[in-house]
Amino acid sequence: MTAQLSNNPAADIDNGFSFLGLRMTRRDAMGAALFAVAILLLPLLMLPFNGSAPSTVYQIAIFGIFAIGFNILFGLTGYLSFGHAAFVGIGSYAAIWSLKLLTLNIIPALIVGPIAAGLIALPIGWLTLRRSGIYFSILTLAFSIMLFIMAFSVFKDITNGQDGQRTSQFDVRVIDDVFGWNQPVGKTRDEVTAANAALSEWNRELAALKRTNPEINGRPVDWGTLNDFTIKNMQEAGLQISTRPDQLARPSIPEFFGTPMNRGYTNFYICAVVLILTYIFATLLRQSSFGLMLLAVKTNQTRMDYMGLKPKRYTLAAFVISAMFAGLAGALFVAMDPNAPPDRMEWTESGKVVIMNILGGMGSVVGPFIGALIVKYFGNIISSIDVSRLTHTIEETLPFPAFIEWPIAHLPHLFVGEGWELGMGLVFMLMVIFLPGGGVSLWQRWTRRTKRLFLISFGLIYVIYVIDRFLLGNALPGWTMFLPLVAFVVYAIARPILSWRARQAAKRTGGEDPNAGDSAAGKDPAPGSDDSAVADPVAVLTRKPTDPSAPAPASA
Amino acid sequence: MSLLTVNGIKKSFGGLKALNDVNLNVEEGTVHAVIGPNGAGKSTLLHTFVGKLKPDEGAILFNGDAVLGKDPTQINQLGISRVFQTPEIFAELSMLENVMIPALAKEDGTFTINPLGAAMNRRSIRERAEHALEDVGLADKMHGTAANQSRGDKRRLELAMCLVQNPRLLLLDEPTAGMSRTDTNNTIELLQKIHSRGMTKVIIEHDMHVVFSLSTRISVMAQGAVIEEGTPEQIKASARVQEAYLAGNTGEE
Repeated sequence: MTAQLSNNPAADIDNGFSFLGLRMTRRDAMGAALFAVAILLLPLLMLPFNGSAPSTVYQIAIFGIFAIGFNILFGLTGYLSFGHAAFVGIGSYAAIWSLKLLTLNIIPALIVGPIAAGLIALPIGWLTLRRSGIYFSILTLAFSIMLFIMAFSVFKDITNGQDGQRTSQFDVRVIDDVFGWNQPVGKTRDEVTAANAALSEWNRELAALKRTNPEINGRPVDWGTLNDFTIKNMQEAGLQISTRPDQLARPSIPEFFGTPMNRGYTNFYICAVVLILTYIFATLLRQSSFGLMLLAVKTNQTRMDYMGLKPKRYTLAAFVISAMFAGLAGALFVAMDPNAPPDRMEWTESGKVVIMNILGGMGSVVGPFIGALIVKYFGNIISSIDVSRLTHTIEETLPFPAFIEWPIAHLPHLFVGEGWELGMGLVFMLMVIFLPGGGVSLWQRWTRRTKRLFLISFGLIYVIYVIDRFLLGNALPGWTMFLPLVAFVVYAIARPILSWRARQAAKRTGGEDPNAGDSAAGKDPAPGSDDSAVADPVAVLTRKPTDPSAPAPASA
Repeated sequence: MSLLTVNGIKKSFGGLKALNDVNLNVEEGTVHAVIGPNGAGKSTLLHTFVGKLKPDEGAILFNGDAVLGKDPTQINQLGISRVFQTPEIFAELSMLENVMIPALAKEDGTFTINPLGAAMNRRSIRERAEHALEDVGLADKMHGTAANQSRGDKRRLELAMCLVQNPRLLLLDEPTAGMSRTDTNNTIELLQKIHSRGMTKVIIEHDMHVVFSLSTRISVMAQGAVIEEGTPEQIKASARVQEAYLAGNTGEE
């Protein structure tokens, strides 16, 4: 009965963690704290994996936000949308126009992006949620492709087509002008105003000239390459255009209260803070009564009708919230790099976020982030591996004749470097077949001993890395530090197979199961049944919402 | 006072007249059983009460409000709860969560967005759900996953999910169908215990033992119409009912 009590989530929340009136179970609070520390240290943690470049880690963070938000719809309600990339695109365009029309400060952009995505998601969700299952997926896919094509046609003025919309120093930026923010360095506000006025006067003059469709030597003027030289040519040809007035160059890089968003790790830490807030929000949502309703939608909508609930409205709310997180991700992309290309809306991007959710483990909060980490790591790092050198090394080292060596040496070509998508696909396929619950369920299946071995082998990577870097001066070849992890993978795969064979043999001889007391690795122990949160911090992160057997922390 | 009034309900499926001019009055505080042979239209009648089926003609009044034209959600919000014959539960969730969902529906209405407050932190809701589970004898299984429970426990859970809403009218669709004798007796005991609270109930049932142990009023249906109505004693004595349905078996042997 004591065990029953400690498994009581209700008791759990009573002595839980409270902040600003928001309450979390102690377990969730620990998970959030652990997650926050891991994210803030991400560039360091990725060092041995050669993935700590700012551009890699900030993309991991943004896709993490997208994936965690997507999980609110997919993981909780079970509705699989194939069109969420459209909302990333909408968030991007809304954010870039906020940077162009309002201010270069990223905060309004980060607010406008999700709001725009949410507003557009509302009617789309209202329509598509009339169907469920595959029909819903197809409808969302259709809508996203429609929006993608409209970005090239109907909305070309807003999106600037294939080139994408960019910020420039000539943008209006009302708020900046009013408050005198983001103006040229060392100039007074009046000087800037005068220069701007002269420039807009000249622009009017230019527009008037354009309307006359002037020609030079019988050929229409090429307005695309308008620079001081071509303007001089036009003046010599007798066209009514004065010299372009000197402009005071305004900045065009988004900034965060004075810090321009062009310094690697500043960018990452802005994204990291948003990611941590997203994680906390998703955790709170999952344990709220709203989150409970979303889980109910997944299981039995009909029953909800007869309980006086409107399941459709809950699903629509989840759809809009997840679209807003997609919009937030899109806005962050623009805040980090002020360019909004239409590629972000393409349906393959929607597929990617689904893959992230399934790889990492849908339903849990941290799973989608792990999926995003894996996919982005493959995308950025594995694709940039120099395969020819790898091939060369293999051919040098292997003592076999060429006809055997060649296929072995060229095998990596298929899966790394340019072929990284095939490698990713292979990992995805294996995962779906053998681990339908994703990476998180793998963790839940392991026994305490296996988990400990995993953490040790993972930690050894860092130990070897530090020793190599600071004591041996990078003397070891790069692959040595992964040996413990490789050894662990071999163990983790071999262990269940061996114990299964042992059990089969025992069954055949009719004897006792030799592994009976051992609850063989990865086979069948109830998820999380044998670990306590204190000994096992990662379990805190990976607990699924509907896992009542997950233990509570050993509380006082 | 009449809580549920059914006036001249008719419903046809193609050429089959499933309900042919049904009239029914359920008095407040009674346990009203609707019995009848297979195909008499009992379940069809129940479906019209909860908004699952729309009758072709007639009117249903609940406490003075028209029930027809409302969807199941609105009807539930009026105070009618239905216990399903095959348990319709949230299989992936814990027993407690299963009962908290209807409790929240009662408290917060059809739709509320409150993504930041912990559900388990709603003390009143939780206590109400725990009491409902205690009432049906599931207190010790509160934190187990619903899918892993026995069939009998699932049906108790189903009942708790309706009881937690404290409905004015509880509709029970064959609460003991497919149960062993022991389980049936347990269920009868449970329902009798609940009856002491004075909740109005409509029971659709085959098992005469159950009907005569529980009900204070009985309507007998045959071929889509109510052929007799009265107290259990009157029904037992009625020659028409004996002839049409009971065939001498009053469950008292």
